Amino acid sequence: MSDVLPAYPGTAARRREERGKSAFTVLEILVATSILVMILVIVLGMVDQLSKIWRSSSERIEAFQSARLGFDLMTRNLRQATLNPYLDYEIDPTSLSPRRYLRKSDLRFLLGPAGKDDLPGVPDSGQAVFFQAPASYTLDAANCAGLDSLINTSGYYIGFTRNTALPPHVETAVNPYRYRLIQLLVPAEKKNIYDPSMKDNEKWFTDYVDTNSRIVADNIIALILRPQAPGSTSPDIITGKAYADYTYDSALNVNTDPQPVYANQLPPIVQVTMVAIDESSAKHIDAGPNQPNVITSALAGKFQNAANYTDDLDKLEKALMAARIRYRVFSSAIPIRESLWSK
Amino acid sequence: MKTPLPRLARRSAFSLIELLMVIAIIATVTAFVAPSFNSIIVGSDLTCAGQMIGDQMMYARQEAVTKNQEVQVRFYNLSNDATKGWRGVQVWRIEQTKTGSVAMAAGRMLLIRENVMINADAGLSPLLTADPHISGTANVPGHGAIAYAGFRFRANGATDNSITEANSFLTLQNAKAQGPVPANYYTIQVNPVTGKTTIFRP
Repeated sequence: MSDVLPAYPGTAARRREERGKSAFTVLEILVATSILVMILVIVLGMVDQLSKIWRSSSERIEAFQSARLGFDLMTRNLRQATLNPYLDYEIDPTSLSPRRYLRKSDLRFLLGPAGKDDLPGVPDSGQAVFFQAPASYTLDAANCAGLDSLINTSGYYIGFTRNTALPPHVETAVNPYRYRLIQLLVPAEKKNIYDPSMKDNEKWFTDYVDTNSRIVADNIIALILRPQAPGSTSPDIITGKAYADYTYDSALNVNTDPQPVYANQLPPIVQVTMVAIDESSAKHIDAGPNQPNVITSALAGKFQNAANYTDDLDKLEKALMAARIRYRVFSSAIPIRESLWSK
Repeated sequence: MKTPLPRLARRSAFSLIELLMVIAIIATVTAFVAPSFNSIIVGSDLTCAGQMIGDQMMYARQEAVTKNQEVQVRFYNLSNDATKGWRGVQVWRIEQTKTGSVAMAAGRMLLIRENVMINADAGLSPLLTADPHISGTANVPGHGAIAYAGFRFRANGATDNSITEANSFLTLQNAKAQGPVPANYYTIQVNPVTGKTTIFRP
C-alpha cells in the first residue's frame, strides 16, 4: 500500500479529511432510523389491512357459497317432491258399496310455520316443509344399494344450534350457536309414512327430527316457502283459511265432497326465499345460547300473511341493513314437477 | 516514502475480537430463532397442503356435478408403513362406457411436502376408511404398487351414503408430530349433504 501512495501525493491527506467528514452524526442516524421505522409502520399497516380485507372477503364468499349450495340442494330436492296420487273408490262404510272416485295418496306434503304445532324449527324463521322425494338415500347398503329412485321422507327448516358434526378432536370452545339450515332425510328403509297412523299425526317426520337431521348450511336466518298457483291474478292459490298464510297440507279435506283441488295434490309452484348472513356479522351479534335480539326483532311477526310478502322482505332487509349485517337473499320459484294441478 | 496511516482510519477498523463477538451474538440469536422458523415453515407447508387437498375435493365435487357422473378422491400412501406416508391425492372420474364403468384419472397425482402427512388414525381421519369401495392397491408410475383409499362424490354433489357426519373429515399434520392429537393440525370436513368443505385449525 505504501508503494502506491507516493504516486498520488495528495491522496492520504485528502482521504484523512474525507474520513473525518464521512462519519454519521447521531442526529443523522436518528433521522434515518425514524424514517425507516415510519416506512416499516406504513408498509406493515398496509399488509395488515390487506390481509384483513382478504380474510373478510374470502369469508363472505365462503359464507354465501355454502348458502348457495344449500339453496341449490333444497330447491332440487323440493322440485322432485312426489305424492304418487291415484284414483280409487270411496267405499260407503255401511253398505260397503263404492260411492265415488277420490284422489288418494299414501304420501304427504306438509308446509307450515316453523316452530308451531308439530313442526320443528325456530319460531318466526319462516316455514318448515316435509315431503317425500326420490333421493335414493339408504343406509342399508347390503339390500338397497344401487336402487336409484328410492323415496325418502325429507324436510327443511331453520334451527338455532351448535355444529353437531364437529370432529371430536376440535376444541368445542369454538362451536358457537348459529342459525342453520337443517335437512331431514330419512333412510328409505326406515320410512314409516305408509302406516296411516303415522301419516295422519305427523309422526312420519317428528319421529326422525332428532336422529336424522343434518346441517346443510350455516347462518341462514330465514326460510320462507310460499305455495302458489300459476297464472292466477292473486298468486296465492287457496283462499281458504288454512292455506292463505304460507301453509299447505295435501292431507287436508281429502274426503270432502267435492274433493278440493289441493287434496292429495302437490302445490304447482313453491316460491323459496332464503336469507343468509355472513359469519363475521354473525360473530358480531353473537349472544351465546340465546338468539340475537337484532334477528329476532327483525323477524318478529313477519311472513305470516302472504299478501305482505314483498313488504315483509323489504322490512327485514332494512332492519338487517340498519344493524350493519351483511346478508344475501336467495329467491326462486320452484315448479313442482309431479304436481297435476287442474281446476 | 512511507506515510503513516491516519489515526482515525486505524480506529474505524474492526478488531478480530469485535468481529468474533458479533458473529457469536448473531449465532446465539439464530440458534434461538431457528426452531420457531422451522415450525413456521411446517405451519405454512401444512396450510399449503391442506388448501391443496381442499381444492382437490372441491374440484372433484364440481366435476361430479358438471359431468353428471361419480367422481372419486383417492389418497395414496407413499411409504411401506401402513399409517405413515399418506401424501398423495388424485381425482378419478368414473366414466360409463359400453363395456361398463371405467375409472379415468382427472389430473395427475398431487403430492404434499414430505414434512406433512395425513394422519391415518381412524379417530382423526375416518374419511380415509369411510367408503369401503374406494380402497386397494394401485400401480403408480414412479412409486410402484401403493395403497390408496378415499371417498366419492355422486352426480348431485353429495358424497356417497357411507359418509356420515361422524366420518366425514380427515386431518393433516406435521409428519414428525407426536401424540394422539397434534398441536398443529388442519382438519378438512366434507358436508355429506352438499359436498362443501369446512376447515378446522387449532
